[in-house]
Formats: sequence, C-alpha cells, structure tokens
Amino acid sequence: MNTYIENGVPRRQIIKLEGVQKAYETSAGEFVALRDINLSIKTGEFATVIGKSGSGKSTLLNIIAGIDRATAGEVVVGGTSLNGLSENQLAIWRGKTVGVIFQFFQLLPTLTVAENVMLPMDFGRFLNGNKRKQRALDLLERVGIVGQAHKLPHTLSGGQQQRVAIARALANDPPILVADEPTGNLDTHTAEVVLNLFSALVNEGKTILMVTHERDIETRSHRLISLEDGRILVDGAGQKELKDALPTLA
Amino acid sequence: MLSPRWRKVFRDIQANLGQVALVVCAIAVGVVSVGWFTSSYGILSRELEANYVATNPASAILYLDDISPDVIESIQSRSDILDAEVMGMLQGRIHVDGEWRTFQLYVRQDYENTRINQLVPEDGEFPPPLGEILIERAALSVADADIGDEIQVQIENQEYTLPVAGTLHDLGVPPAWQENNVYAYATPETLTRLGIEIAFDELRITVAENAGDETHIRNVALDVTDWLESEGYTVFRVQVPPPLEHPNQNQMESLMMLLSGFGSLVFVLTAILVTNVMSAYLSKQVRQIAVMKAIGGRRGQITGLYVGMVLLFCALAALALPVGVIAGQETASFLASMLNFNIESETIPANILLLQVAMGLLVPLLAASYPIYRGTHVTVREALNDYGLSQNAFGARWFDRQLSRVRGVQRPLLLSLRNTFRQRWRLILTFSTLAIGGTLFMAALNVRASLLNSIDERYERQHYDIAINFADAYPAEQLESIAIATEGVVDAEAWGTGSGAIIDTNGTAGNTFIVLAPPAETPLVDWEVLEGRWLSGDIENGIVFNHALLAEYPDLQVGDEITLSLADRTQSWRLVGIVRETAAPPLAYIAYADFERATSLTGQAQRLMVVTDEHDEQSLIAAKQNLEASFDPTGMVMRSNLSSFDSRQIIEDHIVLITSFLVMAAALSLVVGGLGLMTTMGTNVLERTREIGVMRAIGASNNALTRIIVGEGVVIGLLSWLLAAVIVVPFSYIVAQQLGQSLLQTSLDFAVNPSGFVIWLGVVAVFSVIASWLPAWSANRLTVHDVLAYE
Ligand SMILES: Nc1ncnc2c1ncn2[C@@H]1O[C@H](COP(=O)(O)OP(=O)(O)O)[C@@H](O)[C@H]1O
Ligand SMILES: [Mg+2]
Repeated sequence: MNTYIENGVPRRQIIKLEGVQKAYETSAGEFVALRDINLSIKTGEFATVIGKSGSGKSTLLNIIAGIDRATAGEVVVGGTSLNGLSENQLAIWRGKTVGVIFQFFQLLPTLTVAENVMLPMDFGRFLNGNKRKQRALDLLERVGIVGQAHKLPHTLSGGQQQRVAIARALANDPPILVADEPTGNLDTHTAEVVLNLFSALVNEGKTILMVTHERDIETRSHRLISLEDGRILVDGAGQKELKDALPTLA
Repeated sequence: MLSPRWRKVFRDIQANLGQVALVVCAIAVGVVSVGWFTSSYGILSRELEANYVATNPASAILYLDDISPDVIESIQSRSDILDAEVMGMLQGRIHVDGEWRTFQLYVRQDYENTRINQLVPEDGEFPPPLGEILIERAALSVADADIGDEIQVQIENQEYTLPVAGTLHDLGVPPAWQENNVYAYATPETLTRLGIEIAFDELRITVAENAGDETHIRNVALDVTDWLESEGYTVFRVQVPPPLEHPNQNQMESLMMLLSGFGSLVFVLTAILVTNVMSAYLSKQVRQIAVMKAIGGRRGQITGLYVGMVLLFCALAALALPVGVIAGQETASFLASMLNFNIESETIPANILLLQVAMGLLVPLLAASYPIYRGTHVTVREALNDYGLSQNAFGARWFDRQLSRVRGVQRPLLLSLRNTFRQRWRLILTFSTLAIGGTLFMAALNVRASLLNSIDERYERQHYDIAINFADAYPAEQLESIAIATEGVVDAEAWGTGSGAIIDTNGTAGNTFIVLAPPAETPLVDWEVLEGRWLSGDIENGIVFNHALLAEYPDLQVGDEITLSLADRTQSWRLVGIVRETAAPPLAYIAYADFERATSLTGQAQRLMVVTDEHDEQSLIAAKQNLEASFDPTGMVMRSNLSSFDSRQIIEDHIVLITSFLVMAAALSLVVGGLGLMTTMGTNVLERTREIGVMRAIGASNNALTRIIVGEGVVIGLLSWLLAAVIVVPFSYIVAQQLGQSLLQTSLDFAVNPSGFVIWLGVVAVFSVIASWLPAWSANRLTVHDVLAYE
C-alpha cells in the first residue's frame, strides 16, 4: 500500500500537468484562471499550493481531482489521462484514485459519521458490503474519532468533522489526497491535529496536494508551489522557496 | 442491511417530512382523481351496456294494427329475426298533488316470459294481479305512491282508481324523474275487466345478427314490413332506436367526457405539483449531490437514489388508490340509480386498474424526471462554488431591467417583485399550478352557467306559457275561443301537429319525429335561425328542422327536397331552414296552411299554445286548472298540458347530473388548486432560506422580511389569478361548446359566472398570504448562523 503500482511498475510521477490552461467564460469575456501550468508530483510527495485569493489554487486542485476540466494541456493523474474521460468515467476514476477534502467538510448531514465514511465504498463498490463497516470504523480509529462513529455530523466540532472527512477521503484507499484549505475553518490547535494526520498519511505513502494559508507549513510539506495570476511563481522545497513565496501569501 | 446511500434517502425523507408529505399528497390526489374517474367510467360503461343488453332490447319497433299470434310465429321463424314480441301501450294522465302528469300503461301478454325489453320484478307482487298495476321502480316517486296505494288515472277521458301491487324494473324507458312520466304495467285481463280496449299494436323485433348495425336493422325491419303488408297489415311507422344504446347513453357520455377531461387536468395539476416540490427538493440537495459526485458517486447511481425516492412516494401515494376506487364505485352506483340501472359488479376492469397503476407510477416519475435530471446534472464545481449562480443573476434580462426602473413603489415590495421574477423555472411552475387550478375552478362554474343560460335563452325565445295536447284534432277556432275566455289567459293559438318520418330513396321510412304546424307568422316562438329562413305565409310545402332533427340527417342541406310521410300521406317538401331549439327533441315545423292542405285537417288542430297574463309558477298552475275546467264540459279530451315551468323542470332534470358534477369539479379544483398554492408558495420561501439569512445578517428586521416574503406571495397569487381569468374564458368556451354538442347537439349560449372569479380571487389572496406567511414565520425563528449553515 506504500507505493502506487500500475501495471506492476512503481510510478514515480503520480501527477503530471503539461501546458495546462483554464479559461472561464464570463459576461465580461474570457477569464484565464490558469496559464501554461507544467507540474509533476511524485508518489509520496506532500505538496502545498499557496497564493493569494483568486490566484487559481482551487482551480488547479479541481483540475487534478477531475472536478473541473482544463481548457488546454494534458492532465495525467495516477497514470490516467483525464482529458478523454466522460463525467461518469471521471466519477469512477475519482472514487478509486483521489480522496477529496473540502474546506467546509461537506459531510452529508443525514448520515452518521460511519455511514459518511462508508458512502464512497458503497458508490465505488469497494470491498464486500459486510466489510465496509469495519473498514469505516478502522479509518475512524485511525483519525481518532471512532467514539463518535454513530453520531450525526452536526453534533461534532469542526476539527472532528474534518477528520471524518479525511477518513471518508481514505475510504477507498486512494493513492492521492487533494485538500483545498482543509484547515481554513479550524482553530490553530485543531488545524495542528489535521496537519499531523496528513504528515502521517504521507509517511504511509499517500501523495497529498493541499492548498493552505498555514504559516509554518514548510516544516511538514516537502514542496511549496506558489501561484500568482494563474501562473506558477515559485516551485521548490524548503525555506528559501517559502521566503520567496511569502510576499505572495494573502 | 441497507447501504449507506439508501439510508441517506430514508433519513432525508425523515428530515423533510413536510415536503415529502406534500409530494405524496400531490401524487395521492392525482391517483385518487384518476382512480375515481377511471373507475366510475369503467364500471358505468360496462354496466350500462351490460344491463341494457341483458334486457334484450328491441332492434326495431313496428307500429301496426292489432296483430294475431300466428303472425308473430311466422316472424319469429324468419332467419333474419331472432325474436318478436307484441305489446300494447295506452297513454293517459295521472293525478298527483293536484296536477296531471303523463301516464303510460304498458300491457304485455305474458309477464312471466317477457323476451324483448325484459321486465325484472322488484318489490311486491309479480306479475300484475288482476285489477291491479305495477309501477316502474323509478316512477314510484313521480307517482308519489307506494306499494299498496291507489292512484288516480285518466284514460280516454275516463277516470280510474288503480291499486299499486308492486314495482318492476324496465330499462327500456328513460328514468321517470327526468321525463316526469309514470310508467305502469297491467295484464290484458285487467284492462278487459276495466272495460278498456287495448290493441297489441307494437311489434318489437330483435335481429338475428349484426345487432349493432343500424342499416342492417332498418333493412330487416323493411323486409318484415313488406311481408306484413303483403299479409294485409298496415305498418304505420318503424322506429329503430340507436342499437344497443340505453336511452340515456348520451347524458352518460357527456358526463364521462367531462369526468375524464377534469380528471386528466387535475392529474396534470398534481404532476406539476410533483415537479415543483421535487425541483425545490433537489435544489436543496445540490451541494450534497456534488459531494457525492466528488467522492466517486456516478450520475446513474445518484439519479437512481432520487428515482427510487419518487417510486417510494408513488408507493405511499398508491395507498390512496382505494379511496379513488371507492369514490368511483360510489359515483357509479349513484349515477346508476339516477339513470335507473343496476350495477351487477363493482369490480374495476383490469385494463383500467392497469391504467391507474401506470399513471400513478409513470406520471409522477415523468413529472420528477426533469428536476432530477437538472439537479443531478450540475457539475461538482458549479455546485460547490458560488460562481454558478451568476447566470441567474438579476438584471440579465429585459424584464428585470424594466422592473428595476419601477419607481414610487415601496422598497420591500420592489424587492418582492424582483425576487418573484428572478427564478424563472420556479415561477413558471408556480404560475402554471395556480393558473390551472384557477382555470379549472372558474371553468367548471362557467360551463355550468352556460348550460343554465342556454336554457334561459331558450325560454326567452318561447312566448307561450302552456302547451296543451289534445287526444284528437278539434276545430282550431273553437279551441282558441274557449281558451281565451278562460280566466288568466290572454291569448291562444292552435297549432297542427302530427308525426312525420323521412322516406329515403329506397322508400324506407326513418324514425318518426313530431311535426308542429304553427301559423307561419306565429308570434309565440322566434327560434334562432341557423341557416335558411323561418316559415313563410305562402303555400310552398316548406319545412324547417330544428338542429336536433338535422343531427339525425347530417347530409341534408337547406334547399333539399325531402319526401315526408305525414298523417299517412307521403309528399315532397323543401327544407327551407334550420332553427336552433336548445334541449328539444328532434322536431320539424311546417306552416299551418301547408299542414291543412297536406293532411286535409282543414281548420283543425290538436295542440293549443296558451299565453297567460301572469307568468309565475302559481299563476300557471291556476291557469292550467282553469283550462281543464273550461275544456272539461266540451268533450274535447286533453292528453297533456305542460307549463313552461314543467317543461323547464324536465330539461333541468336531464342536465342536473352534469350541473352537479360541475359543482363538484369546481370544489375539487379548489382543493387541488389550494394545495398547489400552498405547496409552491411554501417551497418558494423554503428555497430562499439562505437569502433570508443574508438579508437578516445585513440588518433586515423580521417585519421587513415578512413583508417582503408575503408581498411576493401575494404578487404571484394575483398575477396567477389574472392569468387564469384570461385563460378561463376561451377554455370554458371550448368546453361548453363540446359539452353542448355531445349533450344537446348544439353549442351552448356561453355565459360567465362572475362569482367564480371573485371566489378564486379571494382564495388566492387568502391562501397566498397564509402559504407564504407560515414559512416566513418559521424562517424568522432561525438564527443567522442556522440559516447560513442551511443545506
Ligand atoms: N466558474 C468561474 N467563472 C468565472 N471565473 C471563475 C470561475 N471559477 C473561478 N474563477 C476565477 O478564477 C480565478 C481563480 O479562482 P480560484 O481558483 O478559485 O482562486 P483561489 O482558489 O486561488 O482563490 C479567480 O479570479 C476567480 O474569479
Ligand atoms: Mg480557493
């Protein structure tokens, strides 16, 4: 489970974008949200995307998660080229390959915590029906809230809800996790817990791509990618990159 | 164990019980209305035909001299004849509550073995005992008698007192209450004992094959006629009733037309309600749908969830089907008792049950399919960020821009108006629901008003008050002078009358109809001329048909020559005009001068039209009694006298089933329309909970919010009323014309019922306030935080 294997060969580059562009049609004309993005992310990497509001971070993540489509360029994620896939194929692919974590948790309000975690397995026909419950409980154990398994989401705190969301993202054991400002709605302490969880997951071999405004992210993240006006401004690892990128942070 | 996604469906249902109850109610109302109307339709059409056919109705009736039994045997042995039976009938009058009503006494040779138009014993004795009579079961109330009572009758100017020994069921006569006739039955022996001479002069035959083919029947009847005449009998006329059709079939069919029309519109209405609630429901779920897609849910899987949910609603609503079926059975048995036939089996025909189930499942599914399609079609990105909304932003369209220019209107109201026009899809649904509900309600009342107005119009054109039929032709001048000398009478006009039949090119006579011969310049009627002209004073052998008679000869045109048999003579006449005479039987008019010449009944008349000085009901009853008293000593025998009140009552009794159905349909539309109003208004507000929160966050007070929301409700309500008021006029006009054609063979004199418009306006005003105030009130209780977190 530690490395992503396709056709028996370990893949080094699990995410690969070449010349990706994204333009939106608006009433004021065409608006280019991403321009000429070349990016490749290796298996097991913990990459962080930073940038001002409106710089294109969410758009980039959405394209990688198959939630949105590039208007030009090539997107290959988990060995699959997303360009030719239909909405339906994308949904199936996403269920297997990418776990998505949102800023506002987005748990389904009428399902219990455990049921929320089981839902992706249900859709993706992952495991046998009778094993799903156990896996959900294991995952909840893993994120530290198995005690809340049978509660409804709205009775949980924000930090707890986000951990449920992480468990849900892990449900089908996807190699990639994509998180758009997962700590944006959490206080410093709970944000810390969530980020620790991410670090642990990366250590287990998951590839994580995260948008965040957290200040001390460089201590955990292997790589910082900063965006400005839809372009990659800085891309690298470590202290220097962060320093360079800092002015661009909101 | 249930998978998580289906658990979500059930929990969502639990969490939205209000909305779910609305959808289920809407589907249930649809299911009930379809169940109701199709069930009664299915039962009635099967039973009426079965009942009627079971009595072995005559294919044709031949009127001739008295006939001997061996002749009947020869007719029975013919290969084209299944059976033949003779009977006799005497026309008289019965004294009920101080007035005379028409009395028909049927005489059968063998009551134990009636073969054609069979009689079925009901209560009391059977067959009629010597010296006593039986009464048709539906005529008991018209005779105001019970078994064991005695009735006073007059036959050929002789009065008799007859004991009623029992009742029987005769489907061959129209329902007594509608005709205001009393049908009675006696044995030949009873008549002999009473000293009344009876001729068995009605020969009823049934054909051996093609019993439903009118032409075939006519040919067989013609052959039989030829044969009878070769045997030395005279056949006066041949009557071929519409084959295998109960006398009230067309009332029934008109009613069924209205039933199915209203039923399907109510169903459309409920389908729109389903669309409405489901689209509100799905738009509330958009975010959740997006999340499900984001975590790998396929569109098919997600669509399946909502389709499954609708099917579940249908299954719940199907529980209401028995209500519809029972209502249908009740309606059927009520109509059956009104039309005097029995319902042998109340089972719903299998194909109708199938139709009910299919409609109950398919239509809601179809109605929900667009909202489901739309709701599950949004992409994850559209649903999860807020950019997607910009497409419906206010101001994008011309209408919005005009609306924002409106000045001098209060701010909150202006906001209401803008809100109203922002969500177009929603608005269309709301509008169509309310407009259809209102249209149905007002249309039902308009159609009813048109029906009654048509009868009013008819009596506007008839200027006599009492029509008297005499048993024989008497000198016209004498009739007139006796009548005018009577107290309360201001004028009288003697008309010739006879029964006519059109002879076709083969020499076959068609069904007989009444021919009336007023003086050409008569002031007593001015029927609307549809084509050609009214009678002229010249000797011309001109004939005028009323529209009901023309309906039986649709190929005839003004100017055509027709061969008419009248008073046993066959002559050529020219059709000079067509008049419209609402709710009249098929009739023809000829000028009195032509009548005298054609019949040699010079100066004679059998009918007297009387004008009275006062026209209220009491005066007419008094005038009728005075006329009876005037003619009694003269030896001139009155067969019947009918005031315009009496004849109007008979006409109204013929349409009362339909007018009461229309009232019921109006009430039903009120309920469904009200439900629609509540639903759409309620969901309108629910959908905007988030917006309400934003407005409160920026400082709108509860009062201001309530005013905005209720204002919006009222604006929608009033506009829908306006729309319905505009649509209903052409709509009810068309329905009234269709109904008129099927019921009376003529269009109705269209009328509008103003109170319908007023009532619906009141309903719309009150309901839209309540329906928008309630959710506004509950929205007001939410905190800003609650509302913004609202999914
Ligand atoms: N659906 C859309 N239509 C038009 N413009 C959009 C749409 N989605 C995003 N944008 C624009 O694209 C730019 C990038 O957006 P986004 O990726 O959400 O930025 P970030 O996540 O970095 O704040 C923004 O300027 C935004 O206005
Ligand atoms: Mg963003």
